Amino acid sequence: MSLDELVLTLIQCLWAFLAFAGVASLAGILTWAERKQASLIQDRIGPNRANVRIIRNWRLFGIFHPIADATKMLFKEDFIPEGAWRWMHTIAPILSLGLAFVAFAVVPFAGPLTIHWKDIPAESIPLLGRLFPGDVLHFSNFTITFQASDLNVGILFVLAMGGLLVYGVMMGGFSSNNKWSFLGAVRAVNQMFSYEVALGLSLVGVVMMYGSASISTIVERQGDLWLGIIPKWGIITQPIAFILFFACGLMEIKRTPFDIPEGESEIIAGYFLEYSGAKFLMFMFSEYVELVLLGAMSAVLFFGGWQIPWVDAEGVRIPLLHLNIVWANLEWVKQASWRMDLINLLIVLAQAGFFALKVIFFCWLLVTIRWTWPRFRYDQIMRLGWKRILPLAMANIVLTVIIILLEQRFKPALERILGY
Amino acid sequence: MARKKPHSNWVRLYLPELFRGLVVTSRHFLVNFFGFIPGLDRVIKKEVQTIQYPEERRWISERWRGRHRLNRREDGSVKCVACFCCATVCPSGCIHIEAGESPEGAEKEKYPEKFEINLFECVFCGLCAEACPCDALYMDTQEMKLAQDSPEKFILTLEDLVK
Repeated sequence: MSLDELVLTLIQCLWAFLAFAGVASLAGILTWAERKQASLIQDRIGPNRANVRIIRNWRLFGIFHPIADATKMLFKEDFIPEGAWRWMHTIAPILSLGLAFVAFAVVPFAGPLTIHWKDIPAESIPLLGRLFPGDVLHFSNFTITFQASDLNVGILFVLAMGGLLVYGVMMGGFSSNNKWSFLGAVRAVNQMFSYEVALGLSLVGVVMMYGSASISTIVERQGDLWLGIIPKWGIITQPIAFILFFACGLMEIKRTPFDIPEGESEIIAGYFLEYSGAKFLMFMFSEYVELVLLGAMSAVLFFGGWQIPWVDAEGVRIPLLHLNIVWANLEWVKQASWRMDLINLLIVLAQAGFFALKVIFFCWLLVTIRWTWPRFRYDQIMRLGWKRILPLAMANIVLTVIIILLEQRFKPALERILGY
Repeated sequence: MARKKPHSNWVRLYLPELFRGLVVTSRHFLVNFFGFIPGLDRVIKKEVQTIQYPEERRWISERWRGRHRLNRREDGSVKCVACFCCATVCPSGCIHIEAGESPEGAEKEKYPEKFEINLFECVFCGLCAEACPCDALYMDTQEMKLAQDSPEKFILTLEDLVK
């Protein structure tokens, strides 16, 4: 392994860690944010009492509640019911949480960053340049992708992990030796298998539109412009697919209006009824991680991921309005080569920020949905899944084919008419 | 029997109605969210009605009858002249006064040696304060936290009242 590869591998490890840390903290905050948002929707105040005493009591609207909750959960009794299948009962929450995290490996959170390492004279690099003079540092130009693993079947990987998530639920429900848990598990399995097909089919349109199943490629191609001004985001090219994907995603993460596996008013807590303490915490936490996952996938596949409209690493471009600013041609940038790298770095940071904003927006939307829409009945869910969403997903594929063909046929003519 | 009207096609499309629901909840959320931000709360009135009691208090009218108190004169002595008006008018008989004789040369000839109000029996009707001829007994402390940890403390003595 060359030095380049080693460094790149280390960077991938760093991204894996960063993605884990970011998702875990966002999911942690969501446990509080969800209750707070629910209370605001219902004209209440919500949890605001947990405080941390530094100089005086800090409450910050109750943002320390996740810490208090986690601490409480960890110190509670770890209860395994009589007649339960011990090791399965133990392994179910671990599987549930682990798989939810693993799916984030393929989510890119910023655009590729190229550092023209070779162009920088060694003497101008602080500290390292002094320690290693000459060309030791200058192995090659870096292109860093902000993604733990750039799989070329990224979408399939996420779908597979989503499919495996059923196992955690199923094992938890079946091994608890409790009727309500069992019912919850049966409902979960039935519902998740019913919607898996439609979930996959709704994404076929996206894959066809962007010509790749690799998530990083899909995000990159969403930066193209339609008619020279409209960003080619998934929501614009595939609006039906987005609605179907979102519905199936809600189903996959077992949230309202499809939360019959939990169904508080019917089967108490469903599949994790017999869990307490840290294991319950893991099940609960995995639900919020799945929530972030659905938010991230919606952002990546349908809302351009890290794309900032009209702005990218090259410059600002709107062909229809004949606006074209290229960073490399700016006077200020031409004066020193490091300034281009600085701009690239800033753009990458902005892209990561934009991606985070999109994910947070979707988390907000999902929480709002939970506190707005009532739960579907079991037969309604089945009817919606098999008789509405599945045919619509298939029709969407046909529609996509027609649109792609039309676009190929008329794009040159349109470009000539609009004059760019 | 009222017959249920069939839904219109617009409602049966389902998605627009779901979206309408989202608009309602989001409006509540946004109004309350920005209403909580200090500074913005003057522009946007939040719909949350909760008063966070120990930190926030509701406004209490000046006429509101709280715990009793006894006025003092300018020289610091208690204004009460032990005329027994309050004890007489009290419907629940919770005021117990023992009068004492003032020393020679004092302005008033009587003063209360003991002035006790039993809060267990008091109904906070305010008649005592109204009956008082010499402006001594008042109920304007706005004190509503009357809980105590032992029964003896519920009998207000002279010291409690002039505090």
